[in-house]
Amino acid sequence: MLTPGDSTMATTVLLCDDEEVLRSLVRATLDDDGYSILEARDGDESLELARSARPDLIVLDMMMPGRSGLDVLQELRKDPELENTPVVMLTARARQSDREAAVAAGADRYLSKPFSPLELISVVEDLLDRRA
Amino acid sequence: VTPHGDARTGRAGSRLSLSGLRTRLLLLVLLVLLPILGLMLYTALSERREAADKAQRTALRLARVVAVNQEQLSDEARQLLITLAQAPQVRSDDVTCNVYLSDLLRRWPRYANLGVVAPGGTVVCSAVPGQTSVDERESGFFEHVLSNRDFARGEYRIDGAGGRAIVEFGYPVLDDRGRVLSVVFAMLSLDWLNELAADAQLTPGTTLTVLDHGGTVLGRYPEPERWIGRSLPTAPIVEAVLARREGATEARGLDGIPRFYGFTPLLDGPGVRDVYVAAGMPRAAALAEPSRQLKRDLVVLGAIGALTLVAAWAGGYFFLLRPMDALARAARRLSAGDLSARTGLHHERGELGELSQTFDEMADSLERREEELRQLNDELDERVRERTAQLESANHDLEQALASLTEEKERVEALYQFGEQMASESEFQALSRIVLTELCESAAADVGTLYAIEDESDLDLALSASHGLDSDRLPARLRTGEGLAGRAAVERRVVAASYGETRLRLPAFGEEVSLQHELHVPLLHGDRSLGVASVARLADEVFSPGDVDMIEHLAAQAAVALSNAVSLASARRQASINRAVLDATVEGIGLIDPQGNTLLANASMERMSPGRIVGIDGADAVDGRSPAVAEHTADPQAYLGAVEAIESDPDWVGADEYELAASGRSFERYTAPVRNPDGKLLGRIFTIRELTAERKAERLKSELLATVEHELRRPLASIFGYAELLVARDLDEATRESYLDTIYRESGRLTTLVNDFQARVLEIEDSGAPQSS
Repeated sequence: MLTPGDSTMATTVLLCDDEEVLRSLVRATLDDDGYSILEARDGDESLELARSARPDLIVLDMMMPGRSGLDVLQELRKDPELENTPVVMLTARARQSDREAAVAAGADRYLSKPFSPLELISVVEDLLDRRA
Repeated sequence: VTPHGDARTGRAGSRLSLSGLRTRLLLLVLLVLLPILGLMLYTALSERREAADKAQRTALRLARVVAVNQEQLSDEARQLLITLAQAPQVRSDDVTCNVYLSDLLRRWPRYANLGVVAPGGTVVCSAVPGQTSVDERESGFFEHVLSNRDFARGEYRIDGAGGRAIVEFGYPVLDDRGRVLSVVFAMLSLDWLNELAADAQLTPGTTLTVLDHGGTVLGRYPEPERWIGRSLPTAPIVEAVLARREGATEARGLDGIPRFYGFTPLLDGPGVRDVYVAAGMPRAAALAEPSRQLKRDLVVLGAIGALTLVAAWAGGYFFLLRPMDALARAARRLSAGDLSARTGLHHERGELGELSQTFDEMADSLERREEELRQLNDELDERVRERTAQLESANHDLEQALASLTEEKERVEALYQFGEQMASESEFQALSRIVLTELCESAAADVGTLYAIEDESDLDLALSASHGLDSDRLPARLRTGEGLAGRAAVERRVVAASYGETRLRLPAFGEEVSLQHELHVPLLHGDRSLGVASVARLADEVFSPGDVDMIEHLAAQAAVALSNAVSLASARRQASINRAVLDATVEGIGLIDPQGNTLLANASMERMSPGRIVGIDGADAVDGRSPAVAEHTADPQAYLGAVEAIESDPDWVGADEYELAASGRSFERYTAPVRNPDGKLLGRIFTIRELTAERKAERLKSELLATVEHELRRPLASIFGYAELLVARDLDEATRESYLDTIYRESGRLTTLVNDFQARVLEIEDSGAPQSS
């Protein structure tokens, strides 16, 4: 499943979600635009991959088994090499408090499920452009 | 010595001896008079003794009448206090209570005061302003009421300010758990003694004295102001009363005047020292009649004796002495030597004839004396017969007086028993039956009915008891003014009727009876009419004025008891309604007094007492301040905080929630101080509401919401995302099919979830419904 990306060739996106169907959807959405996708199924795996692969952008589900998305995000922001990596937060909950918690923990954008794949592409491109 | 001189001397000598004869005659007369005098003195002595006994009996009866009167006053006070203890005004604030009691006191002027005492001895309410506390050492009743929770009376004592003797009666005011809330008391002064004496029209000089156990005068008629308060334990009558308690005697009174006394305990009973009443009849007045009789008899006897002596004296001279003197003179002439003259006595009329004539005259005189004596004897017999008849007549009078006394005693005893019987019953119907039965028996009536007005708003009369009649066949109700009974009720007076030949026929058990004479007596208590008692006789015997008086008197007593029964029933009914409403309330409601004692707890409170739920030994039903509960709660600190807030501030008002850790049951508790309209703190109310079901419903609802957000959004995200990709992108057939397949699968998952949620929503609705327990 892991596809070690060639950083010079394509932009690497780390996709963290415990549900296969969701991962397939995000993959189908981003594949088409030439992103290289790394996938993780839980919090620990997400942290491990982020530290080893250093993706250009991370799509992070808020609720995962074990370490939650918020925990992962807080850990990432402590890492000097990952503290500026853009993070798009996905959540099945649509409460204002969750949004504020995500922003406070350092998320750049926040999408609640169901989300528009086209909006996800636009958010990803926007964040990557801004970084460049 | 000359014959003449001899004759004179002889004459003088014969005179002397003859005068001795006459003296003996007079002595004989005196001897005859002596037994008469003795009989007279004996009779007089008997009469004096009889008069003394009668005076002592009268005095003792008078003393007992006073004692019976005191018992009636005591009973009356008891009845009044029982009614008072039930009155809501007595349990309300001071002002209402004061007004109520002073109003009541105007209607019962016999009492010196009426009031209410708190268990601590403070007078909280008093008809006469100024009394603030009850002095336990002096009154005594208060402790008995508290310990026995029943009627008690104190001891007579001298009221320092008023200079009169007073006694208090008390009765407890109980809450619905039988605890003493307060004590109502009535203060009675001994003034009634003088009123009673003034009404009784006593013989002048009669005294009534009330003494305590130490010989101090508590009451005196007449001249109460001269004697009340004086301690005279060494006065002869006081010593006799204290030594014998009840009886009769002759003694010198407090004022030194000798009297006949009767005395008896005035009020005796357990735990209270004796008080006595002594009635005194003046000795001089009691013995005046026998003394007068004796004097009169002595004067008559003296006159008869004097006349008899004069007659004897004169008769002796004319019929005895003069012929004897003549005979002696003849005898002296004979002794002078005239022998022929001596013999001539037997054969010739000369000296002999004179002598025989003298002897004949002497014999005649003696015969007349004898006749006189016989007549005197007859007179004496006649007098004895007269005296015997007089004595018999006096004896008959005495027996009649004794019979009327016995009758009066029975009447007083009947009245007393009637009162006792009525006091023993408080249920209206049962009381009605007792009243009617007693009225019929007292009036010697064969049948009777009692129609009562139980409800003041309903003036119709309802049949509540019948005597000797078949109650099923009597009218159950009478309209106001209907019939003679209705008329008696409306006009508030006794209505009597007699039927003569056209008799009124009424159904009795198994037969019809004919009424000859009826009496309808209204049962009146103050302004209130309790009903009508009707009694009737089958025989042709009219109700005498005495019968009517007796029945009216009994009816008045019965009305008091019936009125009390009505009040009591009404109070009980109201209390049971209040209790039922409280017990039907779902919330637990409890009230504690400032010391923490439970005053009230409804059934829900008994169930929801936290101490009892967690099993603390001896937990009260209302234990809102018990810190021991805290360790059984989910949040002991919060619970202790609420307990501390209540403890530190009597005015604390608030609500808190706690959850019992073991059962998971949670409760909302509200508490506030309870004050009467004057602001006096009565206690603290707690209400408890169980929140367990509500809390469970909230938890399920919150879980469901989380699930909806999380579970539903996931398949929705796939469906929405793939659908958008299908719309927005130009995809090859295989990809399109794969996307549609996913959409279809996720839609199925979504449907399953929606069905599942629907089931859980129903579960929440069920658990949120109010619990049937």
